[in-house]
Amino acid sequence: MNPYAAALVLFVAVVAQVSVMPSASLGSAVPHLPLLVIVSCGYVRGARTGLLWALAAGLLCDQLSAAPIGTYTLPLAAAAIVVGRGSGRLADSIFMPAALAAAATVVFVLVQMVVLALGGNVVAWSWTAVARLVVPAVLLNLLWLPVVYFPLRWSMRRADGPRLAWER
Amino acid sequence: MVRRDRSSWMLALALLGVMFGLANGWRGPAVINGAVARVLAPITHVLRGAREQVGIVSTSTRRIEALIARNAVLEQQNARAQVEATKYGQLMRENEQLRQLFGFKKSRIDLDLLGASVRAGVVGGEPGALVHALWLDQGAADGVVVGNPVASDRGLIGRVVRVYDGASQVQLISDGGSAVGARVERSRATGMLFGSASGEMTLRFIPQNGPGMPPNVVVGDVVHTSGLDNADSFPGMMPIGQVVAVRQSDERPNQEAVVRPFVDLGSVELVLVVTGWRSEPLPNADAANEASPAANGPAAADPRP
Repeated sequence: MNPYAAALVLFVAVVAQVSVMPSASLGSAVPHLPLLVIVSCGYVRGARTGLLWALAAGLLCDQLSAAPIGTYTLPLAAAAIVVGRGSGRLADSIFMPAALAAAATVVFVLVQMVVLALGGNVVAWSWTAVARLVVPAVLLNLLWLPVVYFPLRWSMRRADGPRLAWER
Repeated sequence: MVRRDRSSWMLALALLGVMFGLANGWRGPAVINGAVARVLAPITHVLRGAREQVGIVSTSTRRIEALIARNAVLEQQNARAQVEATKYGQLMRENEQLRQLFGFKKSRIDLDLLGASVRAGVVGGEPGALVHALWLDQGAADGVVVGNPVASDRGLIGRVVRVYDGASQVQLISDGGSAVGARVERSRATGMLFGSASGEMTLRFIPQNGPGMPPNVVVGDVVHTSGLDNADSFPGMMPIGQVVAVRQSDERPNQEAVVRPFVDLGSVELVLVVTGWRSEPLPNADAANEASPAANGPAAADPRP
């Protein structure tokens, strides 16, 4: 994909995340559009591209966050690595991106909790507290995945050809 | 030749007879008239009926066209009325919020309250769910500085942590990095209110209950800012929330309480930024508050929703 188009996609995702997505919350969880963009990109284009997108999206999120820099970059990078491990399997199936999105969300939340705890924030580590954060986040991200995945896959194939990166 | 002359004469006579009858008002023989009438009557009836039907259809068509035009006008008027009603509803809500904020402002004349614009709360949130913050559309150009407390008419919301020219960012009291000096209104016991990544707020370091003394904290107690300069500083007596659970253990020197905020931090739309307020408490300000809690006004006295 054209780097300018990629930057535009990430920018729109992050701005929508800050401005619109808080109203789509479920309890304390919010669907995370930049994470879903990275899952989609990482699955279609491979681990390296996903990691690049994760760094860019993470830095953008950090700029808009009240938390210190790295609070979003590190979790998104970790999520991109997880997605990269599953890239190229079960091509054209929604099940693999869904499984990767769920795994990436769990990794994202856990790594962010670690980062926040290391930064001196209060983080509850009990099973119930972690489950209360992780489960709604996974459900919401799975719900929003088709909205992000299919348009991105279509636009990437249109821009870079019909074959996926790992198919070449 | 003779036959043609005869027929011409007959035609001429017939014309003369007609002219004569016309001149005298003659209507012709009754038998012939009756027969003609009997033949023509059903035909006329059918034709009249058809004409009436056509007339009805024509009239109905005209009426339908008029009704359609009228309906279009009414639909336009209805749409305009709905838009007006929506605007009216929004203005009513905004007016109500402003009135509540104005009441809060009047009740806290000790604070310099800068009203942020109506969209202060909906400008933006945090990119994730584990950090709790808000973007306001008021910034340094409006007098906002880092550290300003932020409140609504129902109570404390947070503290300004980043300021730009036309925007600022507020760390909510539910954030894991937030710590607020707080006090239980009933018992006057003080503690520190911490947020968390999950948004749960816990009042910690509340002294254990003394023997034979009433408990320092029970479910239902109202918690407000203590105004003590032992943490991120906030003005005293700003309502925060209500105790919903108490965690007590004889093994620990202190007890904890889970506090539910009065303000629905997830749907804040309008806030007040406390500007011009310094963290150093005025001499005897706390004592004055203790002496006359009613002086803090209705918003501080009964902030519960």
